[in-house]
Amino acid sequence: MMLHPVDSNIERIFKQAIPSSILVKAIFTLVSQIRSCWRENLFTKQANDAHQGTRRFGRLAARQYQVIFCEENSAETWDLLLQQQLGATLYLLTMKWYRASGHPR
Amino acid sequence: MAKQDACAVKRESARRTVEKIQSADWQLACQGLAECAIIADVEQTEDLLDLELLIPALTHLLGSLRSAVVKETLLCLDVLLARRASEFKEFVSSDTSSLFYALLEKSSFDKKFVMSSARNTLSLLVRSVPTARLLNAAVELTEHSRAQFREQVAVVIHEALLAMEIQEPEV
Repeated sequence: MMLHPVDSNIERIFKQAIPSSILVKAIFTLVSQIRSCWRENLFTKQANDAHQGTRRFGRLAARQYQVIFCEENSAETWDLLLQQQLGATLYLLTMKWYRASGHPR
Repeated sequence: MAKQDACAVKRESARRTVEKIQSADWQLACQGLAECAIIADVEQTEDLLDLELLIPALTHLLGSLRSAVVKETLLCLDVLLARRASEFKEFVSSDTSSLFYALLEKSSFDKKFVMSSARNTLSLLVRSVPTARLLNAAVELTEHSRAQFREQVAVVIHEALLAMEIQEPEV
């Protein structure tokens, strides 16, 4: 999978403009928001993989991704993103394992 | 003058070590790997061992059917990762000939003790390479045909996301 050209441009601009390590976390959160391909991979492929071990670590990764995302965004935005990107069936499945593993939602 | 001589001797010794690693004889390769680990650990001079030359040879040895060779290669990689972590990002890609791919293969399909060592080395690699680069390589491998391989990809992505906050934003 190739990076979207817009993604790499934004990343380049940020790297040029703000080299300070103080802003590392903020930049990274922003970049991680842009990387929708990562999110898509985590939720549609890994977290719902046919293999149990892959599913387990895929879900842990998806949860970690959500933690990073929600540092800068509201839980509602996250929920909206999932609804938009996953489609009805996958969204319901995701909510099922979210609830089963003690997620507040 | 004596210092220059000593340097030349070290350089020659390192060159012979790399030659041993590239040898078709597995016992000689194992000897070279052990020497390489010592050089990387003791000698802090980076130009003694050229990673551009060394890593492809080590990646090739990871595919060996002899567990002794694979184990020795993993030990050598551990030392190199501990000493020269910042230089490893070039060797992380989704390409089947990359070190990253070879480590994923070894972590998911081999004898138990080899898989365990390979997972340790893979974990070291995950912590050494910029997260964005690692994730870009890993997401391309999420559709691999073997389930155990996909599981290791998921482990790598999870570890990379956990390390995300403490790394430089470098791709």
